[in-house]
Amino acid sequence: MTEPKILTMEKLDTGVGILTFDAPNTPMNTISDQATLELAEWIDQAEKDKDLKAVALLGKSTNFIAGADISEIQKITKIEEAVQLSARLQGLLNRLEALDKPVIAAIHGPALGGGLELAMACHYRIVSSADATVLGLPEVKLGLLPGAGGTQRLMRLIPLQDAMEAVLTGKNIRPREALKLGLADELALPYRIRETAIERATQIARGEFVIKRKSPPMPPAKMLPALYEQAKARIAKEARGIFPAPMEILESMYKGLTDGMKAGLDEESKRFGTVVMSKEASSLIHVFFSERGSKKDMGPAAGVKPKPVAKIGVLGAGIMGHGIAAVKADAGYLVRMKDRDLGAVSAGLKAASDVLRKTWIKRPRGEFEYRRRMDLISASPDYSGFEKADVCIEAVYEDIDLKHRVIKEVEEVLPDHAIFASNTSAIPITRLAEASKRKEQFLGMHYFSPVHKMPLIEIIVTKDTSKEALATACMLCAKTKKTPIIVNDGAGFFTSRVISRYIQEAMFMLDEGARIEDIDASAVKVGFPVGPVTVSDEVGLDTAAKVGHVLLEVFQNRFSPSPLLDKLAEAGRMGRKNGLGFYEYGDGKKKGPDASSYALTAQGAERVSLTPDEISNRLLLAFCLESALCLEEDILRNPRDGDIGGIMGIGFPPNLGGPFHYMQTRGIAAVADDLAKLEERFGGRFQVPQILKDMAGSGKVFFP
Amino acid sequence: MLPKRVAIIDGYRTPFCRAGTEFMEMDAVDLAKVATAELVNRSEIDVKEIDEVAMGVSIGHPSITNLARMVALGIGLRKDVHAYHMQIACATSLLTAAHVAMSIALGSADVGIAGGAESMSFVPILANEPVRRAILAAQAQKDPQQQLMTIGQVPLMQFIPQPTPIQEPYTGYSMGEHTELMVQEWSVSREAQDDFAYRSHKMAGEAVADGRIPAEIVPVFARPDFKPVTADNLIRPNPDRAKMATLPPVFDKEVGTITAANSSPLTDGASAVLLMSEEKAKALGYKPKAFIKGFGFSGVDLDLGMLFGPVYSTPKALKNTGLKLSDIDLVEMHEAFAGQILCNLKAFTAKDWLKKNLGLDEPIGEVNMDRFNLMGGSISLGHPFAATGGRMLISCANQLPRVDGTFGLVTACAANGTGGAVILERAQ
Repeated sequence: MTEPKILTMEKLDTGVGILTFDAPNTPMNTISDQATLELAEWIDQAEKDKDLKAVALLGKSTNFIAGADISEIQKITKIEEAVQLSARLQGLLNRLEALDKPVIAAIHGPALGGGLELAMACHYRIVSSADATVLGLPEVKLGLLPGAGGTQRLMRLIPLQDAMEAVLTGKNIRPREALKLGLADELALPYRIRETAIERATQIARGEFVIKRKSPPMPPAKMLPALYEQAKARIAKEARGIFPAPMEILESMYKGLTDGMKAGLDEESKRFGTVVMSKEASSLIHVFFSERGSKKDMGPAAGVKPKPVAKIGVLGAGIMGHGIAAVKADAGYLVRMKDRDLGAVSAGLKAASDVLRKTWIKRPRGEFEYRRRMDLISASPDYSGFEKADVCIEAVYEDIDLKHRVIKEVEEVLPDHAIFASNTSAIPITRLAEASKRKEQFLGMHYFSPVHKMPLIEIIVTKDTSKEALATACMLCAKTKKTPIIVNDGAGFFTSRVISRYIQEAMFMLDEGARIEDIDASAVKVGFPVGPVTVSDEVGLDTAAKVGHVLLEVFQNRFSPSPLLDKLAEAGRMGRKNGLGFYEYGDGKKKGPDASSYALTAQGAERVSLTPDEISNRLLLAFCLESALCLEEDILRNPRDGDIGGIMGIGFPPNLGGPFHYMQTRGIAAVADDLAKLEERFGGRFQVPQILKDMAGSGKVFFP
Repeated sequence: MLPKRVAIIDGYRTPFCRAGTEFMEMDAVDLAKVATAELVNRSEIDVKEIDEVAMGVSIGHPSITNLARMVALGIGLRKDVHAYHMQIACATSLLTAAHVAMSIALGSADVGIAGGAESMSFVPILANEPVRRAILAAQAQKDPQQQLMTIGQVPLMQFIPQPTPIQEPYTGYSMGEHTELMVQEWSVSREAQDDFAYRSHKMAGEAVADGRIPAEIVPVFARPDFKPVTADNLIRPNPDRAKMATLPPVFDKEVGTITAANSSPLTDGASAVLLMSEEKAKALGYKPKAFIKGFGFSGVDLDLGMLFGPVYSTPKALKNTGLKLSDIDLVEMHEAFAGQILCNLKAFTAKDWLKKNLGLDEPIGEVNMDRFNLMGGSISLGHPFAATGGRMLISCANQLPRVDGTFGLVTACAANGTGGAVILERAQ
């Protein structure tokens, strides 16, 4: 018995071949090894086939080809292997392109990565006008580059600037834009895509249709070096030296521009090899799969049906409350917001409106899209409207007494079935639930600021939280396109606990005499989006100090936290919000470090120099150590959630793949050794977690 | 008499504000959305329960194709909700309430919302005829340059705005001019009119002070800045009676008696009322404020008086409910003009006139002024045309227990020579 094939061809009497790419037993077509083998075979035959005049290439009914098979790329162990893979694919597509029978790609649904590279090697592209149809080369998002001619062919089809942007950002191109740019030759109605392709092929076979295409305008050759330098500077700034792929892409494209297609393709293969084997790509691919995993993983609520939710009550219209309201209304939920008085309510509505307006106003029909969402939000200084709320999300000031009060008040009004979620950032949910009469419907949903931009939600369950409540919270995350990580309760949960430990390390360094700018710069250099001192100012030094107090219970057995945050808060330094923190502020903008804050450190005004490596090593290890403890103490259910939470919630360098991926890459035994060395120097706060000791001993890893 | 009892569960209105003030950047749809969304939230009705919405606007912008539907979809009611637009000018929200009540009484809906809204800040502007024609011609052209040329051919003078036409289409007189005709025929003095306007402000002022009016108002977070607006801005709790006497007449500049002070002002606002069958109210655990006992709507003989809506519709409503005016414990009558109120009250008792012109064997009866517009009326509160009926229904339902009354009459005259009357029965 033969395996069902991916590529099948039906030949019509007219000399038209209908070639269908339909990988069996999977919903998505990918450029797998098997697919390339079959394509090579098909080209062999097509080259010899004298009756064949033109070919219509079709994908599945829902997608053309979604890209390369990433898991096959992950299996590559040597640079040469990757270079060969790229060269082989390039050779295959070159042969396709050189075929004397025009091949028409009929694209409906996603044509991404390798899928688009294949389509670009065809001779004519018909694209369906469906919303589901997207074209793009997203490889850069995984730290890769399009290795099957993508860096070369796109810029020969569409204007150079657009091509550079598409390859360097990995953005999606919609059907109408594809037509405008010249990536698509023709647009077809979704239900006529097959027919149109066959029709065109038939016309070609009969000699009634000749493919004509204008080359995109190319900048004059003498301008190229300047454009190259310009792009290089931009990439250096945006990729911050932590993502190598964009520069590799630029080099490949530039080589092709200056030395021609053949040289460009060789350059592309060479550089494909480099990026495939890079740590960054392995990290980003890890993050890609981890995010997918976390999105699907409902933890203990797996298989449990969520409760239907139509209306959501939001307590507090402040920075978190209004953001939560906006995000929920954006997803189509009816929202009722409450705050203490008309002024607070008014400010909350205005802020929610600003978020939604900014999101939508520049898109097609923006004013309508904005209004239909904004109109779903109403607000009041009383609890009216909460009797019909299916979910209530609390985002009032971080004060346990206040939170207990509003929990009691709102439970008087909420219907029996309503789920209550607290958006506390650190107070243990179990302790908040003490004020609740319905602990099984009580959980934490920790949002990050700004809510509409941050992709993570940390869902905190207590031992009383019902599976149904958790399933409902997961559904809300999915509906609002957020990625959840489900964690168990404890002071600071995962994210606030770890970031607090990380900030503490920065405070200890300041106490030792390190400079503010050195600490932040060293952190940014290894890939943190912002340094820990800046983060403290942004969060608010009083807030950071407050979170620190909540976390005393998890820290104090190991070490006494630095008193620096408390001292600054007491001195009235709140960070950015009152323009007085570790940095100076003027006109709402951050200026340089404020040296006057040094007086409050243990060291006083005098400063010493710490090396960037010393600083970043201690910051990374503090982050990793606390993450490991969260896993050991069962706050985290698995290391994957720790990596997703670390990157998406609290800024762990994505190029390092998350704290657990990073420890595994660095070697768990090595991490344990390095921690032990730091423990010798600084004592308990670098005490090696038992879990790392055990793993170092047994050789176990986080991600087998 | 309705075949099924229809309960008024709750009702609210936005603040009523002088056109061009607080709600300058909100249109009738915006205002109606606020009134309705707050009604839904404050009454704690599950949006899934709402079967029907009827709303109207009197002078609608052409973009308001169906106010009720725009509101219903906007604030997140059920997508399949039956929502329809209707208007009879100043009696619009009496009509919408009556229609929803009919749907409920006949069993095609269990729960409905009725209301209306008006924005005189957003009143559409009509172009002068030569301008309109030029714009229409320009719309058919493609080239902007050519379009400008076409419009440019209209003499500049034609762009000077004309006052919005307010003549009644059948008579050519404005409502104010019609009222002048009525007060002259019925010998209603300027002094009596000013006294009534004074009373309207006084009553409203008291109802604000003792909290009756604030209890019926929901705050509007006014666009564009979401600034909270919580109170009416037209009421003068301490009206200057002497100054009122000095104002010049507006419509008949020589011998007229109607002034800005004894007329209702141009106003922005909205109202919404929640109606339910008695059984549904019971099932959902609501305590009705009142029941809609019945209603009557009527056209009037324009030659007898354009604003005799109450005179024509009240007997119909009384007949439909088997009641007499003496059974009525509370009257809410829309105050378009003080003169119109006083003419209607006089005509209520004009036995021979009523017999001759309406064929009534008995006069309607004398209204007890101690039970009349106890919270002020359109003169003092303002008059967002299509929202006024809802405002009066809410106030009447809320006031019935306070005066220990059983039946309330809510009536209004309206443009085009129409009017309506709704009779409420206090819920026990």
